[in-house]
Amino acid sequence: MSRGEKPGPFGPKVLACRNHGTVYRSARLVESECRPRRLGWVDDANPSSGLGAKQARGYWCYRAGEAVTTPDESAGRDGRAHPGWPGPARADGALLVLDLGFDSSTLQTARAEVRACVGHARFPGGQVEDVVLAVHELAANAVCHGGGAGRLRVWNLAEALYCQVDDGDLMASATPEGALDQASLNSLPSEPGHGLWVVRRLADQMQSQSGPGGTSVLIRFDGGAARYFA
Amino acid sequence: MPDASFPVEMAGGVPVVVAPEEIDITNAAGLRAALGEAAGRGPGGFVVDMSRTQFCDTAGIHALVLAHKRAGAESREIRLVITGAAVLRIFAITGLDNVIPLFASLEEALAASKAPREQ
Repeated sequence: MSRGEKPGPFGPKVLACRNHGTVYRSARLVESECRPRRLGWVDDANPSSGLGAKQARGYWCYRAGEAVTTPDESAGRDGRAHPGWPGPARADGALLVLDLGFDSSTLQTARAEVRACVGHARFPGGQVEDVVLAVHELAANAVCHGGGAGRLRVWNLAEALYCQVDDGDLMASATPEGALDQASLNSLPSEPGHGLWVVRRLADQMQSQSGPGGTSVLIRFDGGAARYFA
Repeated sequence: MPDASFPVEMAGGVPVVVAPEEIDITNAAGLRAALGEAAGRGPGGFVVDMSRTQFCDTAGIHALVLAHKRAGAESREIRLVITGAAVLRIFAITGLDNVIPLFASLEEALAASKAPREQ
């Protein structure tokens, strides 16, 4: 993509969408006609069904037409809030470029997905790995200390990249094959402070909110996005 | 998930822990075990060959720091072979690049390991 070329409307192409272990390779993000713009996942093979609201392993799945929130719009749910966080709520056309569920068995996949989507946002190579490491540390914290699983979202906005990791028992419906059991989770190294310290060093801004529903951490990276998505 | 195996090999009489492509919370326990095994092979120092490693999180860092401290208490040294940019980056961020000796190749790390005994 040349410098002057506009990116596609939804950022990186979504190759697959998973729901309860089923991979919908034809799934795509669709945009509603009404304003404010809403995005949703639709399975091309069965357009009327949507993909269901509940996420299993892999991509978070929305009902067709369900709103894809910006970081600010998701504030307040389950006691998770990021008050005063600048930017996203006022940004028009926030691009949700990644929306994944993860657990200990899919951390590696989550890293690969983050690497791909941040690279697409044309962040410099070194900064891509900074984002990957920071997001991984947040996800690892969710695995070790937040119920063993979580949800990761990345928004590519006009001026920055936003990454939000929510922990909680998001995948209680099934223990995916390969996931660590609780005893194994308890044996994982417990260094939350160190991981978050690294995240603070890497990100341009970080905010953590805890509530009854769990902990939500939002981080911001300034950089490549502004040059290509303005 | 990342490869859980961290084989410990011998190179010129020096134990070498061979690390996989990625080190994170899911396989850091394997790294800790291998570091302990390498330390048990003899009274000298040992090498952790991370030349294949492209990603290492703070769980891996934590395991290496503990091994480094343990080795220091026993007046020996561990040496790391690191080539991946992302791995070098986390060592720089945490300041460990100034604490644990880093080498660009296994040969250099082994040569440094032998040097004290040749003196």
